Amino acid sequence: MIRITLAFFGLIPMPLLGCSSPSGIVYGDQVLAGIDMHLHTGEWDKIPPSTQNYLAERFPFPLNLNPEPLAEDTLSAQGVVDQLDNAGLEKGVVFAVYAPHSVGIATNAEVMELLDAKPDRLWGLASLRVDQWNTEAENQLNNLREALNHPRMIGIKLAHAHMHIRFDDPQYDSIYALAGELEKPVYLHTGPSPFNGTLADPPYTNPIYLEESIKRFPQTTFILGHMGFDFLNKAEGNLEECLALGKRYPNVFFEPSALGSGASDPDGTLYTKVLRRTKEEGLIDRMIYGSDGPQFPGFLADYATRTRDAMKAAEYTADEAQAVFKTNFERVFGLNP
Amino acid sequence: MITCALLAATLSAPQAISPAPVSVHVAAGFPWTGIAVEKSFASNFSATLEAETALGRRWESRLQLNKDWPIRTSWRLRSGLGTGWVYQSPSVPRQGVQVVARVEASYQSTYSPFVTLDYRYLIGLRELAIQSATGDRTEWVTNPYVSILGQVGVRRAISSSLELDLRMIFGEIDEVFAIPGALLGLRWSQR
Ligand SMILES: [Zn+2]
Repeated sequence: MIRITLAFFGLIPMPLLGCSSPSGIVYGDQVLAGIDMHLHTGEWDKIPPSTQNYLAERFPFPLNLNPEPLAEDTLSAQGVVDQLDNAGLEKGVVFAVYAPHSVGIATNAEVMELLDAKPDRLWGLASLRVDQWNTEAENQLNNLREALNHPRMIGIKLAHAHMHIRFDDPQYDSIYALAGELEKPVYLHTGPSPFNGTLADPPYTNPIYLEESIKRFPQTTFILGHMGFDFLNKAEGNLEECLALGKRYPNVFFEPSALGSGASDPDGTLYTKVLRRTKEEGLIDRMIYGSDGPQFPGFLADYATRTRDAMKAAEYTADEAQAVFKTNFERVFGLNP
Repeated sequence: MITCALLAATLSAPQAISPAPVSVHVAAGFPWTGIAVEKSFASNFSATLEAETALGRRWESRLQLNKDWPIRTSWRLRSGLGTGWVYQSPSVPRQGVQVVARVEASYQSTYSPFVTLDYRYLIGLRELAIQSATGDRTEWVTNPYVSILGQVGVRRAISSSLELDLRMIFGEIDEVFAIPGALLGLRWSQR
């Protein structure tokens, strides 16, 4: 049934599916290799209804009328890999998520299942619950440490706005300490999120509130997801704060997912600005490509194409584009071949 | 949408030289299924009552007024303007009043090809729950959604009162790309 629905996508015009080649991203006269460091999995019925609507609205008609089979298929190990193939990307990183207030839960165990199903294509970021931190912190940190034992769990995913924790709350320093000890980078969602149930106030979204922790944990790698983009107002949000942190601290990195999507930045001007400012500040070696997919079939390819186009508009050389699409990732996560 | 278009289109059947006083059109396919009843009046005017559903999850109904414009003996142009109600649930909830403008061109022969273009403007109504210091309240907000649908098809009379049609539907529903649909229809006309 799901396979049948997916077959319909053969009918979808190229612009919706992007135009990456089957293996690589065409950049001028070169073909770049790509890794997508921001992918999701999970079960449809664990996603809160408002977020289900948000996702379903991105499916073509009439699949948006009955999104569950397609969503579950897209979020499976094979579905994720199919989308990587469609986008011409080599590998991807799937996130565990504990955000019961907003986007739902994808457990470490679920992510590990995907990693075991596709060990040659997928890595994972593990996460933890923080909603009963007073009593549960030790337990949760132990679980996280255990999850990070998995050979393909390469980092930690946090989303303060979704998890309702402040960037400047020292209670959570133990997470950054563990990340530094195990040499596993921490990915943090930054900027106001479009999802119901997230907190948009600056201490939850503006990474400048994270500065003390960044300073206290120089061994810990902090990846600022979405680069502070304001998804509520479709504006650059805390871009300059992200870049300033990158200038000040060598352990700060960026990931530009979702901000350049057709929904957030239809004509690509914001994405181009983000990439241009990063280049102006000499911080291209800190940027790691991610899409925030799979969202809907074709999204990964579309986002890779939009990224490629924005890079061209921001005058990235092929080497710089290759760094963002792949080599920065391998260096930061210690995966150099 | 498509169905309606079909319906409407079919309603405006090939025997249009002497339009039937009443005709009924049913159509089924992917993703639309629908029914339409048409009543003809004097001087090339007609009214259509349509109801259709996509997969039982999006429902549209409308009343439409049509005018036929005979161009030449075998060509016909029809324009229509209608309004109705849209209801969609559960995954992408939608409800509201929709206004539809439709143009159809057809060529009368044994196999009559036709093209239909629909512009639909939905005034979507959504109930918003607002939490504030003075207590919780609800408020209705409106969101506009435009659908543009094209149909191409062919009709064939199988008896003096029955006609079959086959059509494909393309376009966007509520500004979202629609996977092309196909429908088989049957019209009965009072003779
Ligand atoms: Zn994400």
